[in-house]
Amino acid sequence: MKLTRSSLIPALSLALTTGFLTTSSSLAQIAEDPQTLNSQALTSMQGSRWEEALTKLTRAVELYDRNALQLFGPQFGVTWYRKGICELKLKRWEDAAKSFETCYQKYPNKGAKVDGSGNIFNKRSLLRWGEAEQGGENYEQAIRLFKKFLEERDNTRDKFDPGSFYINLSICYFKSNKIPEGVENLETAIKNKVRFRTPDAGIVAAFQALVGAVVEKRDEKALLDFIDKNRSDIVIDPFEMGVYSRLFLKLASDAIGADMEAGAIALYQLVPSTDVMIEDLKSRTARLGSRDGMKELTRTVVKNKLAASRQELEKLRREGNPNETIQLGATAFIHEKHGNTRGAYAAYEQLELFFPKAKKREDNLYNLVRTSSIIGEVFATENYGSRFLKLYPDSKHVPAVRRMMLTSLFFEGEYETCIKVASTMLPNLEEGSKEHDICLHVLGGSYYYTGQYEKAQPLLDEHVEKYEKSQFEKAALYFQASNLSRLQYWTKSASLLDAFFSKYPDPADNIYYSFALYDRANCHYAEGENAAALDKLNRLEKEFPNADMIAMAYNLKGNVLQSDGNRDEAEVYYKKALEFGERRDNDLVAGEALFYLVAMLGDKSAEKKDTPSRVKDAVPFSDKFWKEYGDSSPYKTQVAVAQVQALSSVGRGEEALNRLRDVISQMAATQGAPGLEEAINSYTDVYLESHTADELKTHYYEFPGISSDNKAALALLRIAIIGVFEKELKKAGDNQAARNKAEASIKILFRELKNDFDPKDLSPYILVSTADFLRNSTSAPRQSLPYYDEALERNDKSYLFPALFGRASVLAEGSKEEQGKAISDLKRVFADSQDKGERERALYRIVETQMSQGDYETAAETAKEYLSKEGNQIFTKFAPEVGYALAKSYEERGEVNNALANYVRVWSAYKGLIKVSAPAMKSWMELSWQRNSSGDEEKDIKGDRQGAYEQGWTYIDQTRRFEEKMTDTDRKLWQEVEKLVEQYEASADVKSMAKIKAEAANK
Amino acid sequence: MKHFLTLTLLPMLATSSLRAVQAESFLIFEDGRFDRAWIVASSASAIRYKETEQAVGTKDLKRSAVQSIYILDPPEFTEAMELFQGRKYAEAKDKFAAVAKEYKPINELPDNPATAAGFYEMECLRKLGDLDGLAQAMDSFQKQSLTRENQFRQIELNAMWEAVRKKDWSRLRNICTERLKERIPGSQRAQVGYCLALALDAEGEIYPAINAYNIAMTADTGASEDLTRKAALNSMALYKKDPEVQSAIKLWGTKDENPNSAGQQRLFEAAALAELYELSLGGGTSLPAEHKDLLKYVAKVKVD
Repeated sequence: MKLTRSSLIPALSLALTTGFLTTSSSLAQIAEDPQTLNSQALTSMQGSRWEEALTKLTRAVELYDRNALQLFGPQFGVTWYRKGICELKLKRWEDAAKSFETCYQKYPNKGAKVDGSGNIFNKRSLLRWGEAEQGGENYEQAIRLFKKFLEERDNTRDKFDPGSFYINLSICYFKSNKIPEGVENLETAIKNKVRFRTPDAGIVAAFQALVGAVVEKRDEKALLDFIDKNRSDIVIDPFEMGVYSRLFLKLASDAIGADMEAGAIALYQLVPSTDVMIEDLKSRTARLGSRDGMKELTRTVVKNKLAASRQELEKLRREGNPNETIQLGATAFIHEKHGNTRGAYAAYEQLELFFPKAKKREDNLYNLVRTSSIIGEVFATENYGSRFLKLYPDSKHVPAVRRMMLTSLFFEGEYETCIKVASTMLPNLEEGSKEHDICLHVLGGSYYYTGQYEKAQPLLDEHVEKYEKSQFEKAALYFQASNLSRLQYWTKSASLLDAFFSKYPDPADNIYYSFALYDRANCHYAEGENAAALDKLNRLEKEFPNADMIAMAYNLKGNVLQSDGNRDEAEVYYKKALEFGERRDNDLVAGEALFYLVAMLGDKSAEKKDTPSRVKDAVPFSDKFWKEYGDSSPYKTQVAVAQVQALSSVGRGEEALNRLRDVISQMAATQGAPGLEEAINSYTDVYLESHTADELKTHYYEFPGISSDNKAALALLRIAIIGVFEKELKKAGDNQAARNKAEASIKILFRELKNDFDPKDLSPYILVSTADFLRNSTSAPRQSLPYYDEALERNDKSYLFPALFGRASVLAEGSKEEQGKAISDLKRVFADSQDKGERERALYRIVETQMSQGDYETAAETAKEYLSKEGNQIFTKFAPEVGYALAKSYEERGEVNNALANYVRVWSAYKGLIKVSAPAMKSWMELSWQRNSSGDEEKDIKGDRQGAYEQGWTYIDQTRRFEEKMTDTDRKLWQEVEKLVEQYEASADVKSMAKIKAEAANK
Repeated sequence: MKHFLTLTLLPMLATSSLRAVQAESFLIFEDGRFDRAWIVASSASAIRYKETEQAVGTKDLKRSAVQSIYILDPPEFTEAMELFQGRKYAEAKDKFAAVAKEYKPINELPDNPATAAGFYEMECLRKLGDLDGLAQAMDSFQKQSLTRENQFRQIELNAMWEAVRKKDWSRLRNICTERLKERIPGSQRAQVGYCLALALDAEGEIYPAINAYNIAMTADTGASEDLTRKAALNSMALYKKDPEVQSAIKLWGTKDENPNSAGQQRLFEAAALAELYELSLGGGTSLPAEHKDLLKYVAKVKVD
């Protein structure tokens, strides 16, 4: 709706559409004659004093209407017309309709008294009657009257405002739900706007009726078609829109309420920006200068109205609630409803950034946090979530915001931030609440994903225990089981993973299924169940060929195959892992695969004697590793170590040594870099091939690239030197001078190590090495405990089991309580270590400790487990000691016969092992002596005492030849048996061996 | 009427008065009086006008003698505006260009039709994507007679479009990032969002670009239909570039389909845009064939 050609008006007034009542001189003298009353009424009407005018006109019809036709003719109809006008202005629709009807029906221009112009409003009263009916919401009747007016009007006399007429007609059609007819008439008014002087206000009113009709009839297409066709005519100049904008927003809102979102958007789009409206109002006002207004062709620009409109818009803007807050809110709603949450997020963010004083800010900001969380804009969630919590600490949305901040961070992998936020939140949340459920899950999960498995486990366990029905149940169960495998609790992890598979057997409905298969395969492998591990890995390969961890699975499969001695097939899978890793830009896995290839192919000692060496084949993989992954791969130490033989085999030994040295220097710069000790040990071996131990010591005290404050690396180097001198000690043999020198060096180095380095600075390897030294080689083994404890605190679990074993060994010698703790540590080693030797040693130490505790029954059970020949692993290394402990346990519990039987097994099977056989023999002799069963000469069964003596004598006789070689301890044990034999021999109950031999000779 | 000039004004005025232009106006004086006038030429300090439309002779008046000059919109300007509002930018552009040229003699008056037409001619060029034309028009445009702050800002924003034209993505990104911190009218924020998206798009930042396109789609409820349409289409194309979305499309309906994957969630977003395009974002145009496939993923969103 544009400015059209216009004329200035000095001041605004409403032009009355009235005719003039022809006066009659005969009535002019009467105070209440109709002319006077009409004249007075007309004056009042011109002053817009409608009530006053109506009083006069009502008086006129009261006094004269009965005989008016006879007295004045149709001309009196004008009085009725004017009365109707007043009633229209006063919105007394029924009265107005009645007045116009009377004007039309009772005073037609016919008959004797039609003089002058007669009832000049007779036909026009049809139009006004229609307007009155429209005002009274009798739209059908109004339409009928409007049409009748068009049919009957006198084209020359019955002037009317066609713009308003078609607008009113269209409104009546719309109100009658006759949309096409309404549109037709509205378009007539619009297309002829200039000629008809169609008022903008009228177009807006009709448009409002159109929207009302389409909303009621759910005919969105009619609205969209109309807007599309008439857009240029219904786009209102910004300065005018200030008045109508709220109406348009209301119409749009109605459209949304009727699910007519396209219509709603089209309506919102008609409302310009508040700033643009204000700027236009300012410009228009300035253009008016000192004038109050401007009458243009189809509108009147009034300065006061411009000022009022501007004031209102500025007030809304100042208070923070301009139209944009409604438009953006609705836009967000519509976009989100259709699934474009990102659009909703954009709208809510604009609301927050540019309209922070909006009444609905709390909701807007909440929705911003919510939508940002949905689309994964994690930093926005965090930022706006924090803002929300600060601004609205008592809001009902607070719990949800907290949840979203956390879950959003979690699902986007911002685990460090999750840990920070959730750690603070968790203690303040009520257990059992949804917030606590989420917070606990997120914190546990974040620790899990960041490799802080020790911290994760209790939280994950707690979550599973407390929130069985949690929305995170599946994830929680998986994390719990998987985390245990990371902590190397293989047995327990395996059991939980199996339960997980049982509970969620459908891979299609379990996003963790493939990961769980991988973890389970890892558990199998760790527990030496290679066939089962391969079964799981084959499933992964077949059922989840595109799984995220498939390349890792290939590496694991290579490990299993290699462990089975199937090196060719292992090579195939390492290469597959390499290929997948490279294809998926997974440098970590690719580097790992290369390491396995270098380590396997480059290991000369693992090759079969009758097959050609493939050590050189490792070289290309090694070269590829350094070229493509050497900068960032965590496997560079391992590769540097593993490649030594391969590179040496092609004359690149010096390069291998230098590489190791460089890697050591690089790794030393990184706090806690894993694998450094292996690198140093390997470097040490290679270095010693061409240098002496003392040269090594000098070299290591000034190792290039390692500064004096790098305690961890320096400590590793010291340990390496100690290792070298330990080897020197072994090599020394009977060379006492060499032994003394080596032992002195070792002592000094360990003392330095203990004095110069805080346990916190040392790597797990050094901690355990130092602790083992303190435990095994000093008179104060308990000093080793802080080192073991520190090693066990570390995330690096490389030395978990040696540390547990070492600590248990010390504690086993302590109080009952400490012994209990020792047993717990040892059980952990036995259950989860992948090293058979470690497991065997742990089980043996459990037996020992249980015996020491006096828990003979349990000790017997553990001993039987050790000695059992069933199951995957058969232990033999400590069988004599364990057999002895079993026999002893029977003895302690008074089971003499069982004790005797088991002692026999021990001393008969391990006769040469004096430290076990001697005490077993001694105990057996004493028990037999005490039992003192009589023999049966006829059956050649000896009595207990005779038997004890004879077996003892034989044992001493057979083992005497070892006496010189026995250790002092063994000799002492052996001599105790010898003494007992002599003691029994002197008894009257016993026939001596000399006598027996003599009798035998006589026979 | 006072303050007539008896002397010849500026040479420009003298020559301009020979042209056919005459802008129907009201000269409003400080005391509230007014005179109707048909202005034929103006300078910074004076106007030349006729007292009637048909008059042959002209009069000159110092600008300082009048408080305000109320220039009625010429019919041809109104026509051009109707075309512009009706989104017929090519036709509107020609008409605005003609008005700007015809009324150039009075382009030093505040809020004059020549400057307004020149401004809207540039708006048409921008909306038509004719950035070369926009740059050319900017070279000769005199902004001094504009009276609305938002119009001045648009002239500044046209510099942003110049960076688009030159594909100076880094500069564009800087301009847009700064502009987005300001509270500006939605139609202008839509432009800034769109331009930022172009820069991000060019730099391969898929989701930051899509987010910025969403600013363009929402800032003025999609009233800037030219930008909204392109923003939606560009976003759909970007979604399809995302390898995770490609994977979700590939796995759709197979046993490996993962409704919780990031790819599938984003595929749903792309599908939502396709649906919204047909609803409103397309501004009445139908969804291009290359994106119709996205609609099939909408149904699944609803079912789920």
